[in-house]
Amino acid sequence: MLVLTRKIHQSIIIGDGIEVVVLDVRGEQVRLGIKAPKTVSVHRKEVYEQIFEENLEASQNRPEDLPS
Amino acid sequence: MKTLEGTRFGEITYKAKEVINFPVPLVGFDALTKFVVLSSDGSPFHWLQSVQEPEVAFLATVPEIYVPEYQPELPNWLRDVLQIEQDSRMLLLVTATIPHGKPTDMTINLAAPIVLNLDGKKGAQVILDDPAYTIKHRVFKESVEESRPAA
Repeated sequence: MLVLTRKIHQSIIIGDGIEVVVLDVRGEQVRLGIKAPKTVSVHRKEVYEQIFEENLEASQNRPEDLPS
Repeated sequence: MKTLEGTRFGEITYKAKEVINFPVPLVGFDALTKFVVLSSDGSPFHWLQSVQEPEVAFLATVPEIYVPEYQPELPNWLRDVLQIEQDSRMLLLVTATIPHGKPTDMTINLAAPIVLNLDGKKGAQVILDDPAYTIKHRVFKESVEESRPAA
């Protein structure tokens, strides 16, 4: 993993047009600002993983199980 | 006409112009950007059948049947990404999960609806940042007696 040290209001650029800014650091909490193209979706990882799981389940339904 | 073989529905024929492109694909399925919607008359269910991977089809349904008050606030960027015009016909779907053999345990994902522009043939799954909408929303009451609105 690439590790970079940043201060408040400094940022990193990922690829072509994604910027992550450190807005605030308080104790164990870090606030990040993200600038990305509209088609790049940005999510908290926990939420992303839950929705991925749910999508996976939705892809495993059997036609015969549909309520009539 | 094009043909898809090896789907769970057998062989499917579709027209190239029926294919919906997903500039924002389903979460975790970035490689799948082309789908056809399989629907049957009178059924609230739709299958989002991948054109690229014939074995992949997502079950989706129309949320308002189960949650009439469901009117999520959709982000503004969708208008550009889905090329929504004033008169575009839109369809809002949510994925559905039915545990095998237990249709009454069906849940729908209200937290990440799928928005389709049927005219522009564009689609996106949107993650709503709203704690009011859950990923596993049970649609049928757990008791045997189901309360249904009068027809």
